[in-house]
Amino acid sequence: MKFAKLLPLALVSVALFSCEPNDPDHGHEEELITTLNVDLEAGGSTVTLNFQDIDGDGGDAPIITVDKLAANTTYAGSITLFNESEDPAEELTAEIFDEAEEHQFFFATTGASMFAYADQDNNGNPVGLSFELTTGDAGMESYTITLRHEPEKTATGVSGGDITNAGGETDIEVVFDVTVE
Amino acid sequence: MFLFFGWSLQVAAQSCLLTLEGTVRDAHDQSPMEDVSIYITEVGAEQWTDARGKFSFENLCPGTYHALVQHIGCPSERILIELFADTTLSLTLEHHENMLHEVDVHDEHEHAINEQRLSVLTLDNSAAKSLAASVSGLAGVSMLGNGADIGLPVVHGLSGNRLTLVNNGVVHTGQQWGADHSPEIDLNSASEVSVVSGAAAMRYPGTHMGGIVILESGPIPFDPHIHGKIRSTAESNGRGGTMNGQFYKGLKTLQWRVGGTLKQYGDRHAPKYFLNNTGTRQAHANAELHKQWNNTLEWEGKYNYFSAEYGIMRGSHIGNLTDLESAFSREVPFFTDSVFSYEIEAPRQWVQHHQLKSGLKKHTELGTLEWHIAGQRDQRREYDVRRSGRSDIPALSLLQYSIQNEVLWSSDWLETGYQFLGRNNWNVPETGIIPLLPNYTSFTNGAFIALDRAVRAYELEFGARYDYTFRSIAKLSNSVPRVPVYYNDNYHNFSFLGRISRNLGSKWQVLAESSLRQRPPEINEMYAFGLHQGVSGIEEGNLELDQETGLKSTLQLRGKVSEKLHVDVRAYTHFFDGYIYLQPQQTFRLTIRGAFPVFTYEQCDARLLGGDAVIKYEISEHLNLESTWGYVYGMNTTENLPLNFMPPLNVQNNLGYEVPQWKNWRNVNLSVMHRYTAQQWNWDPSLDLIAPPQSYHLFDLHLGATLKGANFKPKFRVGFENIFNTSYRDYLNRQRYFADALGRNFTLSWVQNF
Repeated sequence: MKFAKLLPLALVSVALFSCEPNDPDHGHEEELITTLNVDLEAGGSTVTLNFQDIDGDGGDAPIITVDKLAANTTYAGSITLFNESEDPAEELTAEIFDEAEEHQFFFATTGASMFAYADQDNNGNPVGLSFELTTGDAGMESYTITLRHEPEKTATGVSGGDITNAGGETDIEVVFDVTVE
Repeated sequence: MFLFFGWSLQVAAQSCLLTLEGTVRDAHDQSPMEDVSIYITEVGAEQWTDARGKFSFENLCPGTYHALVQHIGCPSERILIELFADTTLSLTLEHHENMLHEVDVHDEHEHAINEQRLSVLTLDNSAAKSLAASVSGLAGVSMLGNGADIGLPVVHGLSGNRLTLVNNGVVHTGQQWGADHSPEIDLNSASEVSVVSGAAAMRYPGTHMGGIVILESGPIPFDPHIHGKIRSTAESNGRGGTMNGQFYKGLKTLQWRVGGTLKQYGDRHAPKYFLNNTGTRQAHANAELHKQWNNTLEWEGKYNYFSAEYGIMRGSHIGNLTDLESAFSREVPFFTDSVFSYEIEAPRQWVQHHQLKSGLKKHTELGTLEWHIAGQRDQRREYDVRRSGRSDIPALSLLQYSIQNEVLWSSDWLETGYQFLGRNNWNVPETGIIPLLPNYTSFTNGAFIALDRAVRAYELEFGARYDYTFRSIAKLSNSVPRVPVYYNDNYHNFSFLGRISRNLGSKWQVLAESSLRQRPPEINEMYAFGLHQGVSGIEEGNLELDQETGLKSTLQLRGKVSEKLHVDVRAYTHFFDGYIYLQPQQTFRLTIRGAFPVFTYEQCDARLLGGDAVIKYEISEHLNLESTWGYVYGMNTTENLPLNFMPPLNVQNNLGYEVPQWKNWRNVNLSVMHRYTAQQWNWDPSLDLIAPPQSYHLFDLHLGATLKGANFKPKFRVGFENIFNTSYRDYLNRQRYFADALGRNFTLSWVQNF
């Protein structure tokens, strides 16, 4: 720090603060969801869809891995969420489960696959951490999985899985391009 | 209103036989004023001036009296009279300020014509409004905001980082970036509010490219008794109100004033639905002390405290672009509840601001030497809707300290000074979220000179300013592993201003002004990184940015077409080199919440062309019309595209009817206000997600009067705002993406001077 820059401070003889900024410290990024993992189980074998973005909203591009699905098969699906920016990685699925009334997953596809909820919150409305996926004939499809925070679950169509009237904020919206064969 | 008085004395018999008489004249043409009420508080006697402007009180005892001078169109003024002989007062009243104040030929550049003021009456009437909402009634001034109470003034199309607010002579420091950061100032602490775009602006450090908004608490009148003012307002929309009290005492060499404001509102109401979670809670306190020694040395100390909590409409909180698009298609916003509530829940903002100032003035035969030092502490916490009870943990938490130190010298024709402004801005590590802004310190050393000379019929002004800014920045790297990254930058900024004005006869005044100003790119423009709700995108600072330079030229003409018709017209051009703006990039960034558009700060050449006008017409003795117009046209001339978020054409017409007396009421005034805002057709679709809202007309009705009473003369005012409950959306308010603006509002206010 040059003398010239210190002069004004000396002049007023009040050092309210230092000349250097504080080091950045953002604390624990404990709420951040970096990873969405979908396990699809059928006939004793499991395939997965995985979305991972370690550095959150900015920076590097996410890594998306998708296994192939079998045609005309019914899978038991389950979703798990992680914060992998922490070491060790933290599982966040329980945060959704504990606030099940305030959360709901929505599933959409561009193809013939069918999704059905397989769980309920305390009010008897779906959550979507567990679901059932029935694939159609072979082909390419895009699955969009959306997690809404504070949706209006009683609005028309919402408990049936229609996102149109759900409202709330989107916490997750990921697209998996899957091959059904 | 300005009131000047002098008295002449005649020796008369002591005891209670004294006479107090006088004449009231108009300050402008010295014509006598009729129907002015002179009320002596101590004896409860009232006299009205006759056609020759004369009044007279007889059989008064020797002693000290307070006389209240009231006239229609003027705020009431109190004068102190020490009566020990027969006395003749000569009162000069700045009558009907909204008509005549305009063509005042002045010799001090504090009252420059390129300046607009809010009158004391306007300030009384807008005690419940925010600073930005109040000044937006002036020609060429608008408000950029989010909801009813969060707003920044926009002067000639410029706001935020391009506009400086000066409170009690101190540059207000807080979080000026973004449209959703309201200045942490309560309007009620000020008795003088002006928007200045001329030479006076050279006097202040800061990043103002156009105008500055100046708030002053004003002088404390000489009077050895405690006096003051209580203002309160109740409003139906939001079911809330404001209460403000100011108390002061002015001795010959010692004056003080203390005051405070409390404000609370619940959910506001649009014409068709509640705007849930739009309540406000605000508290404010001010205190000041002035001391003089030997007429040559004076000291003042001032303290201001401001604290507020603002609810952000629940339905305007979104997670990603899909949410925003589905919000557009809603007739009624998401989360709209039919139940009114005073609760303020996430999303919400909490701010607290302290300002402490000391000023020392030494008057000499050659001029005045001043030393001011001020410190500010600004704390801001913003809460989002978060998971697992984290809504009570702020998503943004900023703490800023600043210090301003200045030495000034002024004489009749010269003003010069040295200024230092230091800031330390810190992200308090409690959020668990990577902050959008880095931590930084910023130091500015500046010097200015302003010259003012009258040469024959011309008034000439010249100003120059130099600022050296040095900043240190510490931020987290944009990708993992997160490590601190450090930057330093520094800028030399120059500003120049020249202007010339002259009187054309006794009725017209013309002014031409040209100014060149520079500002460094602000911290958010260079170093921001992250998701910004305000733009629903990933906002990235640009390290390559250079200074922004603007050349503004103004031509103003004002005067009297006739005794009944006054006009004040201004036209300006503002050319920018390196105008900094947010530019969406071609790419979308994929995140776990979907794809977001990426916005980067870029620079372009830009041009603002604008004009405003105030036209006042006295239709009859009791009826007058005032019309205010403002428009600005902004273009990015590098790409030949419109600049977004410029205020659209707006017009305000106010028809006022006033009578001095009606039954038990005095100064009865009725006004009908019509406000028209056009649709902004000059906009760039690639910079906004939805077209600007349609044009709208709003009508307000106000009725005010002062109750004739013995000792206390309360002033009441009832108002109906947006009488026809018109549904509309304001282009400059972020809430327009989600909901209509406020519906009908019934207001009742009471002002008590004592």
